[in-house]
Amino acid sequence: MIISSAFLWLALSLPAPAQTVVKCATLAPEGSTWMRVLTALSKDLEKETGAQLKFKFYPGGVAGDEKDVVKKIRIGQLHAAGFTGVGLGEIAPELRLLDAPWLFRSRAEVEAVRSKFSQELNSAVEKGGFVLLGWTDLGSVYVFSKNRISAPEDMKRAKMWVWEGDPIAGAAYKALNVNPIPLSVVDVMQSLQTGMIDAVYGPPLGVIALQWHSRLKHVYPIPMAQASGAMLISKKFFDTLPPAHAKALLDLSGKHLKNLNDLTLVENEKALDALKSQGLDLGSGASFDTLKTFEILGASARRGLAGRVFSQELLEKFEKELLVLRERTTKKT
Amino acid sequence: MRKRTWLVAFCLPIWGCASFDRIALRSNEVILERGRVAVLDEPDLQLGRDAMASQLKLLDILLASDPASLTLRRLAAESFSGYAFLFVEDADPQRAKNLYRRGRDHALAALALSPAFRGLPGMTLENLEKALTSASKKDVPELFWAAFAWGGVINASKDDAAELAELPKVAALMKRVYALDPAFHFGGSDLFFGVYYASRPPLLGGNPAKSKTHFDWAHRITKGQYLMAHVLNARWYAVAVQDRALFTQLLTKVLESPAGLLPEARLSDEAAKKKAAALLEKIDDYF
Repeated sequence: MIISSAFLWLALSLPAPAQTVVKCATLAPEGSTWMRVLTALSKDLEKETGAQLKFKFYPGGVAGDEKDVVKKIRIGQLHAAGFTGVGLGEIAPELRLLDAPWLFRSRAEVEAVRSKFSQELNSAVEKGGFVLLGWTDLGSVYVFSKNRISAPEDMKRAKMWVWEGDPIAGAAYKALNVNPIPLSVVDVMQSLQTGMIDAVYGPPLGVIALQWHSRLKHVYPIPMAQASGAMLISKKFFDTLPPAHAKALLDLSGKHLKNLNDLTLVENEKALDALKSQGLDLGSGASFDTLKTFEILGASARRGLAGRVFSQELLEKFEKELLVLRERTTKKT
Repeated sequence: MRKRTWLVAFCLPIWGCASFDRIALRSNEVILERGRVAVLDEPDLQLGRDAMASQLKLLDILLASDPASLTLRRLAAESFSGYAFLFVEDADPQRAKNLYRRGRDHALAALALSPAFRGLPGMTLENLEKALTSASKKDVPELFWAAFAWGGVINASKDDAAELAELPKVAALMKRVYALDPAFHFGGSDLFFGVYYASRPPLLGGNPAKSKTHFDWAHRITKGQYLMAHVLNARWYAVAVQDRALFTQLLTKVLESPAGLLPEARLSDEAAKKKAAALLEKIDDYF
C-alpha cells in the first residue's frame, strides 16, 4: 500500500512530457478548405501522440512569401510549410518536372507517376534539407485572356504575362513562339487594367483568389500543366522527433493531404463554373490535331528545361512511364 | 346611378383602410428611424443586442406590407449587417453569413428602387462599374451596406469559389462610397479597404502598406474615437504584418478608452471592447 502510493506520488510529481509544436506556414487563408483540412490533421496528430505533437499554423501568408519561409525554416524559426512550385523550385528544382508543360493529361497520371518515382522525388526533397509530408495538387493551369484564343497560334497575338523567374512557363511560351511580358504577380492586376498584358495563366481557384477574372473574358480549354505543390518539413527538425511521432506525422499528413487533393479537384471544377457564371467563356474541347501539336510543343519545351531545371534522366523516366500508362489505358478501353 | 353609389360606398372603406395602413406604416417608419439612434446609443451590450434582434423581425414584417419603402430597406440593410457583425460573426460564422446575405439583399433592394441600379448583382464588373457612375451622395447608405454585408458573406465563404468570384463587385461598390462620402459610417469605406488589403497575402493581391494608409485615414476621420476601427486595425493589419506589440497596444487602448464619445457609436464601442478582450485572449493563435 505504502509502496504503491509512493509510486503514485512519483507519477504525479513527474513533469508532463513537453509538447512539440510544428510551426507551419501556408498562403491559404483562414476559413479556407486548406485550413480546415490542416486543422483536422493537427487534431488527429495530437490525439495519436497523446498531445505531445501538434501543428501551429501561420495562414494567409503572414509568415512572408515562399522564399522568406524557406529562409525562416532554414534558421529554425519555422519548421514546415505548404509550398507551390516557387518554393519547391528553391528547395528541390528537380520537383519542377511535375509542373512541366503539357506533360500530364490528368490528375490520375500525375498521381501514378509521383508514386512510381517516389524514391527519386523524396531523395530530391531530402537533398534540399526537407522531408515530404505530402503532395498538394493546386489544379490544372489554364490560359485566361481578354481576346479569344482558339488555337495555339492565337497566343502569339496575345500580350502574354509570365511570372518573372518562372522557367517552366517561360519554356512553354518559347515553344509556342510567344514573347511573354515578365512581371511579378503583384503587378499583374494593374497591368491587366492598363492593357500592358491581356492574357495570364494559373489554376482557376488561384485566378479567382487574385481576382484577375474580373478583367478577363476567355479561358483556353487545354490546360498548360498540372500544378503540383507539397507540404514539406525541415529534415533537421523531423529527425529530432521520436520514431513513433515521426511515423504518425507522415501517416496522418499523407491521409489528410490526399483528402485535401480530392477536395481541391472539386473546388477547381466549381471555380471554373463560377468563372463561367461571371461571364467568362470556356472554349470548346480541342481537336485531335491540336492535342498532337501540344504534345510536340510540350516535348520541345521540356527538352529546353532538361539539364537546366530538372535532369534529363528523370524526364526520360517520366515520359517513358507515361507512354506505358497510356498504352495500358488504351488497351483497357 | 344607384349601382355606382353602392360601388363607391363599397370601395370607400377599402380605400380608407389602405390609406390608413399607409399612414400607420409611415408612422412606424418614423418611430423606427428615431428608435435606430436609441439602439445605436445603447450602453448595455445585452440590451442593445436584444433590441436589435427584435427590430430585425419587425422590419421584415413591415417590409412585407411596404416593400418599396426606402427608409425601411435602409434600416433593414443596416440592422441585419450590423447585428451579424457586432453579435454573431465571432461565435457563429455560418449564421452570420445568412444574416449578412439578408442585409445585402435589403441594401440591393433599396438600390433597385432607382431604375439605374436594378439587377446590379447579375451584371458583369464592367457594366456594374458603368451603372455606378450615376450614383450620388444620397445613394451612399445603400451602397455602403450592400458592400459591407456582401463582404461579410464572402469573408465567411473562403471555401466557396462562386462567392469569392464576386469580390471584385463588392470592391467596386465600396469604391463608389469611398469616392462619394468617405466619412460615411465612421470612415467605413476606409475601414473596409483596410481589412480588404490586409486579409490576403501580397502574393494574392494583399497590400499591407495600402491597408495601413486606409486605417490611418479612418482614424483621422473619427479622431481615433471610434473603437471598432482599432479592433479591425489590430485583427487584420497588425496580424498581417505580424506586429504583436501593435496588436496589444491597439486592443489595450480599446479596453481603456471611454465608450460612446461619438454619436451613434456607443453600442458598437461596447461590442468593440468585447471583441478586443476576446482577441487579446487568443493572441498566441495569431502570432
